[in-house]
Amino acid sequence: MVRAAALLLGLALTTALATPAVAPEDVATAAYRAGRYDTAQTLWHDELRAAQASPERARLAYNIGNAAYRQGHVQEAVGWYTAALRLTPRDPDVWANLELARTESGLEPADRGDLAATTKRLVAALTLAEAEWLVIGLMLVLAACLGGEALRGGKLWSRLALGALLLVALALAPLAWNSVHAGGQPMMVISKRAVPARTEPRPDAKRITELAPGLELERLDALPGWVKVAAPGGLELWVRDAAVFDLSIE
Amino acid sequence: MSSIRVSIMRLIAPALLASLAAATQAQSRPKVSALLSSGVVKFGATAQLNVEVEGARSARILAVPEVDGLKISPPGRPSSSQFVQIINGRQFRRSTLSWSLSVRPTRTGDFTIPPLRVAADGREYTTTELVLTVVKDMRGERLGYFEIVDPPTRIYEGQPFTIDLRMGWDLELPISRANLFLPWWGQLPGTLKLSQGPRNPAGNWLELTVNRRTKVQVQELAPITRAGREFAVLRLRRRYLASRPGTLELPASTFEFAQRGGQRDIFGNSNLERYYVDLPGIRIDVRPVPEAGRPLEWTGAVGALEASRRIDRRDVDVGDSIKLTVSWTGDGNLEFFDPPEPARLDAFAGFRVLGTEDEYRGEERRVTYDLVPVSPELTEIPPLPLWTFDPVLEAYRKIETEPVPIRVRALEGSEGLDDEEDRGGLALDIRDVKTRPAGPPLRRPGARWVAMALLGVPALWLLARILVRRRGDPAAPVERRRRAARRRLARDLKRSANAGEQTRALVRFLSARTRDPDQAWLGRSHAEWREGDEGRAVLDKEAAHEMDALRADLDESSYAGTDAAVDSGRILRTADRLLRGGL
Repeated sequence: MVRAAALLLGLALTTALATPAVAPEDVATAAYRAGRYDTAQTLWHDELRAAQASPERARLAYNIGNAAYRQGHVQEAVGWYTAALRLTPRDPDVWANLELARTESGLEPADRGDLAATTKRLVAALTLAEAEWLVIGLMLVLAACLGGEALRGGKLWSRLALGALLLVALALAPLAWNSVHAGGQPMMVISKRAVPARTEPRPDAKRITELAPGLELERLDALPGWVKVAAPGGLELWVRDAAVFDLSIE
Repeated sequence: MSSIRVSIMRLIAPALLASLAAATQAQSRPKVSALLSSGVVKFGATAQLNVEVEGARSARILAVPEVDGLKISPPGRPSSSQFVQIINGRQFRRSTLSWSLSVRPTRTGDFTIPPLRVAADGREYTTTELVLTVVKDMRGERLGYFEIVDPPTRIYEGQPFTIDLRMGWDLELPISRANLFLPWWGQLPGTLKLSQGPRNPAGNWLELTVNRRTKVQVQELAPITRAGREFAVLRLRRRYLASRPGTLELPASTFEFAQRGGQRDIFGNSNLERYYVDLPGIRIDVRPVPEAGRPLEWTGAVGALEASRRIDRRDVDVGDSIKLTVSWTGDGNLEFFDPPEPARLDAFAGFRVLGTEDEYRGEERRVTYDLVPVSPELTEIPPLPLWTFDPVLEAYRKIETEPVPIRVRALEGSEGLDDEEDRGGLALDIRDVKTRPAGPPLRRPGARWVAMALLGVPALWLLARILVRRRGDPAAPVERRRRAARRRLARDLKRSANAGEQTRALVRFLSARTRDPDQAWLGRSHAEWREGDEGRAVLDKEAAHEMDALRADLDESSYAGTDAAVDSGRILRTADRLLRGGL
């Protein structure tokens, strides 16, 4: 009897050890495919907490956005896609889903297509690492051109050096953009309607203004249930934390 | 006697002078008066209030008094008249400014019009108080009638209602003119005027004037008999929709009709004999549509409506279009509710709605739905519901069309459009989740490396430039010629056809590399060539001997008479050796 039990236990252990461990990612994807979007969202959330690399965090944020979208939380999906875009700014899938979700939320497109929006998209198209490498690479090109100008002189080398200098100046724009927007805690209003902003974190505090859906703000402080944000016009106001989305997932 | 006369004259003269002065003063002071055209008027008729200012250069009425029951028109510009009289050679001039204000009573009774304040030549004057009596036109009441048919007293917000006015006169009267005075005409706040729909061309239509401004078409109906007398009947209908809760007030209205009298004026025109019939005002209570029991599907329909439907075809293939036309009729706000959307109804899940066509035709709201069956299993077009609030029942009611049996045939080799939709799909949707883990992130070089690059490259450039420029300008022609000497030698040797040209090419090469003129290398011994004050040998011994041997061969070939070219490769190899040797 004891021998039989030991045999069964050993067989079970062998089977357990022989079965390959299922990755959480596979489980989350399977749940998503089966229509259990809340389960998939929870699993991807757990993975996001553990993930370190930016591309992987962006991928998980994108997947969580998809799960939120499928559950009808389109505003929340907009927040996740926007957060993913901050990490992988040129990802066409994220852009496509973001624009679709924004359209369904009644928000204007993230890229309106006008000159200002196109310029912003170009400047923000690189991550900080990419922008730094680009600047260093172009500085090497500039160094070669300046070396030629120093050793040989002449108009050709001067013009080449000038062109390289111009490219470096252009490459500094993404670097400056990323440097300015690095750090901090950007938030986004994801409520369906305009969110009342109050002077104090109390429901009966005076409403100073209303924050439009889709508006991006800087988080200054937080209390249970409330977030203090830098509202337009230099105001520091409190809003309900359920109405804003934390974009800083890096 | 004469002394007595003188005394009397002395007494009378000051009195005469005083009375003359008073008369002159009285004559120069403006005279203001007000007068009614008649002290008694029939209800519905208008009295004229004439205000006159005599002997003033300028005048204006400061304020028109407000009298309850009377509507007095505001004063316009005064009319001016002048009267000149000559008596015993003396000229008397009198000027008059006058206004005529119309006074319309809104009810019967005795009214006192308080004094009017008039400013004339900078001073303020008041007129006397006036009394006006307004009486019912008993004769008009007997010879005509004016009534409203079934006036609504209580309606709901959004419910249409009709003001149906009937008026007429004794057919024995030769009536030549008729007018309506409706104070509420065009001024019913909280209502929307609805269209009347197409006019019945078969009826007899007359034109009446409302409020002496607007001409309206009224329908002439068949005469009616009242108290043994036959009366003409005119009908004026207007449809309104109550747009907000509250109370609608329609003040008293008046119907005026006139016949030509027997008296004629100096032009031969007979006077008009006017009669007036008044209609008491009415109040309509507008109540809000109740929230209790309001279904979520209610789209604003109010009224007792009926629905009917028809389709253009019943036997179709999958994917064919069926036009379902639904008509809503009845007493309701037909043009103001949103028609139901089949695409949002579960019962219509087997249909694709391609579009709708919505039109309002007076007393009918007609919506045509373009439906496409996507499955051959469909057997009918299901009932299309519309929720409406019925003001009579005071409850919400669902009106449904009758279902329509149809037959949907499957396309050959197809199982319906549902499968096709699943395979293809034309709707916009999000892109799929990313299942593959993302690659490693790009490592940042760091701000230190970026700063070093930004600062170091310009610094190195400046340093290199300063060092290089110490030996001269690298862009100067002589330096550029020196750098290009090897390339030019090869090019010149290719073009050289004899030893003389090869010698010249070699001399150009040597002069460019040494920055000496060409003549300096004619006859120079390479082995003994020294450079600078120290007398350092430029070429090493072997290179110099090789060069001397080459020059000797070239000279021999040139001066021996054959002038045959030597091997260009040998010259280039020798030149390269010189360059490697530091030339």
